Amino acid sequence: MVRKRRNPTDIAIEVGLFLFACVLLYPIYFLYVGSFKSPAIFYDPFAFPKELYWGSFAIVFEKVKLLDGFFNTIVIMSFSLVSIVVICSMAGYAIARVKNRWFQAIYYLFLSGMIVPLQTTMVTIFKMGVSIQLIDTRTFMVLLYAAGAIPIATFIYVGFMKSIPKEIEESAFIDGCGPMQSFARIVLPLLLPATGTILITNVTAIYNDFMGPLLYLKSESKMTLMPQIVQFYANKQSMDYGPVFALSALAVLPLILLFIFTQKYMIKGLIVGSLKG
Amino acid sequence: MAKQKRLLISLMLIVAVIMAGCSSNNNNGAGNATETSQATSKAEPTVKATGGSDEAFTIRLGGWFIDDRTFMQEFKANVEKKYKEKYPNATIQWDILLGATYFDRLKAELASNTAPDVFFHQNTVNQYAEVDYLVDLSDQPWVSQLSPGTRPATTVNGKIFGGTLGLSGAGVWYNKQIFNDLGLAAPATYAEFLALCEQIKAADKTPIVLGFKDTWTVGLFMSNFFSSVLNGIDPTFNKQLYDGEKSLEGEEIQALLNKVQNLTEKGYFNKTALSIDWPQSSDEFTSGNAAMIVQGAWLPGAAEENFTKKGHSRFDIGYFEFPDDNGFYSINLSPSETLSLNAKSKLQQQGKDLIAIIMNEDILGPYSVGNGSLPPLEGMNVTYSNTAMNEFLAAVNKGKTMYGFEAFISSSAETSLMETMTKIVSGAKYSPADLKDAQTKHEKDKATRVLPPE
Amino acid sequence: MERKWIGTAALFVLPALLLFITFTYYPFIRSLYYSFTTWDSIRKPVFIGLDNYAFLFEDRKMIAAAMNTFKMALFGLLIQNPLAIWIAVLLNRKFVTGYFLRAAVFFPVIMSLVVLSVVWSQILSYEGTLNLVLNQLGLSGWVRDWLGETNTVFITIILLTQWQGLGYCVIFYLAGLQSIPADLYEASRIDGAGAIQRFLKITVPLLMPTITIVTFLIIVGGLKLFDIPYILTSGGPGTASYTLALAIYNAAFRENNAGYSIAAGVVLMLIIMVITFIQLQITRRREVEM
Repeated sequence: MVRKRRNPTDIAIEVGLFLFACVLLYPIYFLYVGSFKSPAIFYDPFAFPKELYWGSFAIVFEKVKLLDGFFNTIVIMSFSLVSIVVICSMAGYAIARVKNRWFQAIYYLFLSGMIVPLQTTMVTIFKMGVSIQLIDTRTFMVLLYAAGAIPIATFIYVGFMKSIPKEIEESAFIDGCGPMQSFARIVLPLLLPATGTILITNVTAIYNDFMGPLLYLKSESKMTLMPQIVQFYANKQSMDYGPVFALSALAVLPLILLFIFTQKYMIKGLIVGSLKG
Repeated sequence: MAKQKRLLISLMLIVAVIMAGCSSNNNNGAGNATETSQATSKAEPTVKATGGSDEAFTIRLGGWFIDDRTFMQEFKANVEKKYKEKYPNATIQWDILLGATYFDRLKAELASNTAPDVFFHQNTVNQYAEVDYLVDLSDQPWVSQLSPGTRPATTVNGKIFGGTLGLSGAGVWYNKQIFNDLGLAAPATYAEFLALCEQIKAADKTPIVLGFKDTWTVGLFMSNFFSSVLNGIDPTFNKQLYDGEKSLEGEEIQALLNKVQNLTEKGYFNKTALSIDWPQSSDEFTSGNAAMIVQGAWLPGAAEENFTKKGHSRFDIGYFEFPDDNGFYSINLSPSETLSLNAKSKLQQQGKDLIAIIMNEDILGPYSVGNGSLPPLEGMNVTYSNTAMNEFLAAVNKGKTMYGFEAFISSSAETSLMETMTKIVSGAKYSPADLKDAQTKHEKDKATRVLPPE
Repeated sequence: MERKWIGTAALFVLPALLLFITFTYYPFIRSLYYSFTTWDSIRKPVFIGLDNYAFLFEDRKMIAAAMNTFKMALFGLLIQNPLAIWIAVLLNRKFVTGYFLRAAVFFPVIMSLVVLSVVWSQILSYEGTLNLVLNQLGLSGWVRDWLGETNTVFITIILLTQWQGLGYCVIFYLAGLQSIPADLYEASRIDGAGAIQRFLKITVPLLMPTITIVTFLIIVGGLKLFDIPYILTSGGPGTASYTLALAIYNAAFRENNAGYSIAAGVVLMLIIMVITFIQLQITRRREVEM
């Protein structure tokens, strides 16, 4: 591509957007600066720490099993994501390809799941977890997250399937591939952009969920990061905001890094054209 | 190729897991079809408790308040040590979830027979006893020692379903140094209270600091601000509220809200009232910016921590409860954390022993001091380390103690009043419709409120 | 062939269907009965017919919550959505700082609610950064407790949802924009179409499928708004920042009114169904037209 000459409008827009971006980023800046502030200057919002104060981090590492939390979060998140992608891509593929009343009905059933109020079903879900002996297990969290993601993920996959010509799989059928094989070999790779969108939407939701683990997990050894912050914060009777900031800053860091390293794929590659409703 | 195989295997695994999950779930659905049947299909290995205390087992103890404060950690250590003496091979598993989510989860655990063997709860003895979640502990040795003030709190139909760690009260704590500097003394009437607020304000200090970002502090403030006046009108006012002889729309409540509105308009509360939480409000108090704070009796202990940890300069703390126009005051005392034994626990004797160990002077003494609560056992003498607590005790002994009025109205009505309260403190005016809302909700949801014992 | 394929297709849908029914529908349907009872979720429910539903329309908190919820959805529809398209169009150019700009728009999305509450409550409190800045700028008349006044609290919350939600929509639109072939623009440029014309004639019609989805997500998200008021204001002061989802949660978990809470949940579900149905009818039709 030929690099275009930059005209004044472009520059003005860029400056405008840059300022807007700074406003958006201010709270994040505030968080990281705050976690390095010594207690003496913590409540002075304009004070910039002259030297890095590590005391808040020291308290965090002393009191919170951060690595356990991180490990659990990653485990639950990865298994959930794999399940979501596998289950929903299969469902989306079938729904998009079979023009049958029953499949359409299932599709609408899934869509309606987006609006079912979930606040009121906690006790029932808990009892269910007990009866299938999965309460206080990471597996249960994975199942819950997978079930929760079905409406939107199926919605996106079905939409995207419309942009994939049927002939592609049909030629695979002719080549002697079974439906399972042609799905895994041909369709799944083509669904990659939609998969990207689904991953992005679910990574943050699962990583940041704090209610679910607090209710359905119990053992400290299985707890994820966000409930750790909530519990740390609940201990505030003898606590200052400095360590809370430090813990929050640490907990957000992995997602920020993940974003920085995958941004190129996320925006340019993966999700291009993922939304052929 | 290998990739594909792995994909297929994981697919099958997931399907299998789901199938398995669903089928066992269906079984459960059938078993639970009638809400009343609590039948458990699981075989329950009964551990014979024959006093043979060498057995190895893990007993679960649930609670929402055992945090990192020093006296809480000491409490934990003391309990463990004593229990080891009785059961050397036993382990106590502390199922701690700090905050209100604990109660939501406890409800679900009790409903699914997975609750801790022994657990703490609050204000739910009646409900839980009614559905047979709790074990009758009337025959326990410590029961005879329960003080008359605490005994009713865990009594249902004449049986005792738990032990209470103490009675907690609240009121107005003030900075004696500020009061002395301005030549003020604890007020005897509401008019005196208003006058001293004015003087404190004139001296550029915040008269009363509120930390309403924590919603429970709103309820606590309201309960304390209302109690003397309502009980001054009639000692049975609260009961009349419940029965519908008095109304939340009535002139009594309106007069009280007008007073709060007046305090707000005069600027006697901190401007940050709605944006700071309880620890921040205690900071305001101990750093000397605010002269008074309305809090529970844990305030002196928390202030002590602020003085030592945050380097705020130490001052003496005094106590009084809001007086009414005639100088009458009453103090709300309510049972604090209640300890019960799960009826579904397999460790019945071990659980009873654990409760007996906790409901003992050795454990409750230091706990009461740290928590600022009144001990639940008769004849227990506790020496509080600070003068503030002693002033509080004196006030309790001299004055009338009662349940707060919120124990007589439905939770939805209490929430509605608390919402009116924050509205007023935010600077907006309340309207009679706000009180009508509370009264309507009280009448509608009365059935969900279990009255405190007489 | 076709027969065999339907069997396989059924197998493909099965895992999702089972998982979904087990964890979403079954609990919901089981709880439906309780909406006709007075129930504290511990003791036995007492059947009261439609009283819970009837009371919803008298409950001032529910009405205030419903008003706020609609305000939120409307704001999303009329302001957030166009704004997201506009920012996406602006970002869809080559910028020196393009990388940074996109990151900045998207970073708030990944911030957790818990962290968000910690940070924003410090910034917005009466003695927080925002008021200090206003004071420095000589705008002390503007200084207020942003989350502690009945007339500013919900606007502030709506703006916070924008801080977090805008980037999410922008990403969707960016993706949609990049799928529009560049030669279409070239062609229309040769035809002499201006920027605004190009936007209306090419961008909007081709973006319509994305607009359908994003509008849907914005409306549903707006109507279900829960976490930000839950964690920052608990609905206060007064009932000024209640949303329906928060009122439902509080009724069940703080007021021992599980039956009432479920009734409100059912009504919220019906509201969302009707609104999204209308929306999908409108936006889908536009898609067909082009």
